[in-house]
Amino acid sequence: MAPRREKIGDLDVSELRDMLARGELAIRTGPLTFRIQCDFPDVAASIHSLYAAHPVLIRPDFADFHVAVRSPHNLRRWFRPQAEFFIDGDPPFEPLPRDQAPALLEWGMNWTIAASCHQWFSIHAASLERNGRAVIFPAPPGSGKSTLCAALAWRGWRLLSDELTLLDPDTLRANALARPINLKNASIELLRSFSPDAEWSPETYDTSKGWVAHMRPPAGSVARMHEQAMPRWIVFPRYVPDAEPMLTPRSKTATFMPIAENAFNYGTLGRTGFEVITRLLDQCDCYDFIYSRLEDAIEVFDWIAESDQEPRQVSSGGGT
Amino acid sequence: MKVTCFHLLIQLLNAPEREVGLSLADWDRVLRLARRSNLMGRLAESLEACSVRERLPAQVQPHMAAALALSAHQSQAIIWEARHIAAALAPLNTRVVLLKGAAYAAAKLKAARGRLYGDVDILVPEPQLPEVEAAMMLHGWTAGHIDPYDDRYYRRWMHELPPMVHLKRGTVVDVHHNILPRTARNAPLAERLLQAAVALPDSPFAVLAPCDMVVHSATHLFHEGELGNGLRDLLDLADLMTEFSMRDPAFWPALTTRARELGLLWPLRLAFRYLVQVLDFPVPPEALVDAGAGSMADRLRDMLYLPGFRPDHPLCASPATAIAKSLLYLRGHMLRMPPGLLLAHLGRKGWMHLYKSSSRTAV
Amino acid sequence: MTEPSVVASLAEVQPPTRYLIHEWIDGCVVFDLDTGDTHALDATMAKHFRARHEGGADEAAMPDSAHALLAQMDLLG
Repeated sequence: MAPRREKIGDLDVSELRDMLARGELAIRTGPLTFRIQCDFPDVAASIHSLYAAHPVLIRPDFADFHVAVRSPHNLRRWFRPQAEFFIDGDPPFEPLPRDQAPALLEWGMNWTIAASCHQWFSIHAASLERNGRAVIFPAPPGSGKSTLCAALAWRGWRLLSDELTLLDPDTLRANALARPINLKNASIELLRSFSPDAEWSPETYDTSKGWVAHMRPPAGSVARMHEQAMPRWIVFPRYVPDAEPMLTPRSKTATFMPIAENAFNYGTLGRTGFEVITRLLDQCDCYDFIYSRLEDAIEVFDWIAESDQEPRQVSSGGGT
Repeated sequence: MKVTCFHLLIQLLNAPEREVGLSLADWDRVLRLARRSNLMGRLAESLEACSVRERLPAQVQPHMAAALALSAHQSQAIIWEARHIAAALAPLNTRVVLLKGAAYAAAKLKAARGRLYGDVDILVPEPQLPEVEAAMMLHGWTAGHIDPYDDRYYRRWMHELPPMVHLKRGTVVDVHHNILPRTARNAPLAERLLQAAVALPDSPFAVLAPCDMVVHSATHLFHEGELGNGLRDLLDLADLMTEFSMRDPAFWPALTTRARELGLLWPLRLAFRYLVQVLDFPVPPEALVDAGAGSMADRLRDMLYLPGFRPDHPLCASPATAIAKSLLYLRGHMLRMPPGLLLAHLGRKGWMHLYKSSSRTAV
Repeated sequence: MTEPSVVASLAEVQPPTRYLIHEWIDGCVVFDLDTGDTHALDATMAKHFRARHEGGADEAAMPDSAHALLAQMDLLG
């Protein structure tokens, strides 16, 4: 009987490495299929580990995006090896040091989605689901959103995405990608102790970003990657050392601009973008959240989920 | 296989109803090529115009929806930007002619559909350049981050100011005073183009007269150093010629006459040649004869140009393509600058390519 | 060039319009279909904006800051 090959983890590493080098391997993440070509063994190992539970397709007829990570053809290849990301043969950004190749693949895939997927309204935000409802964390880097997202993903919430919240412009439902979670510096240690059973990529060091690693998403999140969720809460987190947890409601008017500014395609979608955000704000409760301890955050979000009420009455809009 | 998907893409663009015959694997390849050649928007709009959306495979539909959203935004954005430019230049009372994509959009031509616009190109009389530049700067456009060498290159040798970037919006305007550089061997008289320009209804702008628009497009295509958008530009030419010839039966003879008058018959002849060979476009035989029969030199140029019209993509690439493209780059420049200057310029650009950070746009 | 018939949420169908407006208790957001600009207005400015557009605005009683902002929003007149 032929061995089962439905998940990345069903392949053994050397098999995966060969297929990856030949560009035959594709991974399904939620609604998207990425076909990948790369002959770096560390990238193969990283995929094997971080995407173990993800569906694998071998030489599929159709893939949404064809990406590759390769050595760039420049002078540097002789004294300081690099890795470059390609989408259909086109490199959208500068190469990175070679040891960051696995991370580069992740960032490249994020970029590809953000730059091309205008069938959705996409926000630079983390999102998670509980009881069919989604919480969205729009936040610039350094706000602690990834740390919070990772912690919640291991404590009662289903990971949709740590970076890309993708909303259907008609229904507003959020799609799940359930991809590896990107963490930096102190967050890495924090999450290692918080979730000792999780799998990690090797850590790499970059002068501008510091220490970077990716964490395998919880298997439950991956298994349910095709389930959407309806947004219900928008929360702006902020990590403040030694702070007591504090959840304060936010003005919706004052929330509009930060969401538009954190969206990848607000301008591109024109009035649709405007309408999506106004409808989103109508149906969501908006908060600022300050915290220092992850356990506090878990409690607060448990409370939010359990005390789910209908949104407060909003005034109607008008046209002129 | 490598050639086939390229032809598939062309066929699909020419006759969208044929999509019914495409397998999922075909679609996979066609979409990749279209993305790389900047033709996603155009493909999406062609399919949309044939009302075949529901018949497309489920996996293909979101990509077409995304491309439609992007191209709708682009055509809206170009109009908004044109409005801002009009507001800035209105007090000057000078003739401002929109060029290329902005012109197609403003004149509502078929060539505008599905387009991914970059900069807005405008043509103004050379004596008025300083005022125009000043007015633009007053309204928030600046010379952008340009190094002094490139700045001098633009002002001294080229037919345009260095690109002007708007501080708040980030949009870019290229202000031209001719359609070819000062140094080019066959720079036409800009006054002729400006004089013949056609005012747009309800707009402070004008666009080039139909024949001039075609000649300009052909000139731009064959004088450019990089054929990155070669296929798309060829398709634009096809659209322009189709639309203008439908409006005016006398278009074809007028076109070759005008090209000759402007001293630009040569790019038109090349345009005809490649429209026929690459797109199977029906250029009338009289026009072909009028523009000059295919010479030996033309056949040699085929080796350079034909591969250059292939999208820059692994599915179409071959060493021949890569070499053809780099030769074209050299050739494009040769047409613009005297050889001595050319070496200095290329050398510098080559060095800069390796270390300067590049910015890419969304696909 | 404006879009035909714009409806922000519960308003009746209006003649061709320039703005999409959506209000909350403490302000409103406005999308300008002519320029593609988006504005978020607090409750006070929202009031001035509505007054200007529904007519009957007491321009003399408006503070300078309101004039300046409204002028900016009307940039292309």
